[in-house]
Amino acid sequence: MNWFPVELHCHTKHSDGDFSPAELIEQAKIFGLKGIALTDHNTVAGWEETCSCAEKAGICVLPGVEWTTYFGHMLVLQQKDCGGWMDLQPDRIDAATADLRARGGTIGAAHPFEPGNPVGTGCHWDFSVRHWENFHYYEVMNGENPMEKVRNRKSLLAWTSLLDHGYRLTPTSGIDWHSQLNKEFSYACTYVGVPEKDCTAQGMNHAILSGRTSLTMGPLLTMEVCRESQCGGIGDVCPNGRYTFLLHLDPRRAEHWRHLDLQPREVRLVTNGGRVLFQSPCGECKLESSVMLDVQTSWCRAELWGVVRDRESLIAMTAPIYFSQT
Amino acid sequence: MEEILAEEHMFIGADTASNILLPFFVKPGYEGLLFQFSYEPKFLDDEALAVNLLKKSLAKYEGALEDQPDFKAYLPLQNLLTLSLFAPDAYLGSAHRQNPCQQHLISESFASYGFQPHPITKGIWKAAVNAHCVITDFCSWKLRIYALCEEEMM
Ligand SMILES: [Zn+2]
Ligand SMILES: [Zn+2]
Repeated sequence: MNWFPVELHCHTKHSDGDFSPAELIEQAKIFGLKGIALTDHNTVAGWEETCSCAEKAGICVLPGVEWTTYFGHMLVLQQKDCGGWMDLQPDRIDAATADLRARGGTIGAAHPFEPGNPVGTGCHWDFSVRHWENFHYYEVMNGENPMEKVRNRKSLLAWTSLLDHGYRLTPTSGIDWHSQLNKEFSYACTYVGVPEKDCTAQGMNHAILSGRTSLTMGPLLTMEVCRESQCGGIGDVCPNGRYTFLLHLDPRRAEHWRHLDLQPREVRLVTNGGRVLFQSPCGECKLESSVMLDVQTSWCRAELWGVVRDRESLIAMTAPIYFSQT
Repeated sequence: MEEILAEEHMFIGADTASNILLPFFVKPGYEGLLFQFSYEPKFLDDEALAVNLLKKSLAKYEGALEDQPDFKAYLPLQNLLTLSLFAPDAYLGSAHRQNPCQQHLISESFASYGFQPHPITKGIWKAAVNAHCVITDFCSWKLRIYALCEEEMM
């Protein structure tokens, strides 16, 4: 599996961003990103120009829209028709997501616990979702210094609860990129797992649909499980049972956030209810860690904890490996 | 340049999270549409009231205010209205940004930021004024739409 750093939540001058499409692509290049999702508010006007700039720069673009409704913001990728945003009522969300999904859209909830009016207009998620299975992803980390904020800690708890209820939503991060990044701040980056050797828009989309993401403010954390000749990776579904878990931390991947003062301290394996199955200290150097565990729960994710900007914090987190009863 | 719509209206706080849809007819033979959209006030100037509303909102969404030492960064509180456009057969987009005084042009080959270019086809177009947030007691807005012929597009 190849892991490519991407940013899945970007704005341009076509909504309230500072960058033109060309400037956004230039910024993505500076930060070493291999792909972006363009998600301007309620418009697809930037798709064409952004895709053509990106092609020249060797960056892939997943075209999308941030449905900036009055009751929550919803990220919809690869689905052009977005005029329905202004009529979307809290009790109509299931019908809207079913329709978008049927038409091939990839759907995510954006910053669900961001304060709503008058702080952030319509930002707070007030939809009454009955059918979370219509969604593909959940933005658990949003904005700058994500883990210092109550809103993102709530998102992490909510997503964990959705996993516990059997909804296999892929976790993503979004800088929610509107302007120049601040070197003093921490930002999460989503790595997408793509089997092919190059990153493509198709590959990014498929990674989200298949649950292959790993979020980090620094080093890339990945995980695998093996037993006998059978192996599984992030996003896969494996039968319950005894597995050797292999955790891998690659500090070289942190290159584009090198300036950030960040000290990894501990890796954890976390399962249903946020329960810690395993924890092991780790340093800044390359880490390979393996442990044998009997898994009788329905999902398991890896987390990296440590110090970010002088605070104890979650640094990285993989999407889960899912487990099912045989 | 022919004026094809001139609308003035006043929103109140309760209009937050609603839209006003304004259909307008475009006759054949035009090359462009010009939209002038503005609203005021932009800001809630009463700072004491703003701080109060902000505290209430943050308490509701983020818990204790002690965790929000920099809550004043959210000030001043502001109204946000946006303009969205529909051609007879397609949604063209929205100008989702804070500027309370905007001008947009649409033609077959060009469109202002936020909108897709579209031929100025004859038929019923629609403008929507979207009230994302009306934090002041009243917020008045104006929309003027002009149809332009080829010479006027230079
Ligand atoms: Zn948003
Ligand atoms: Zn956004």
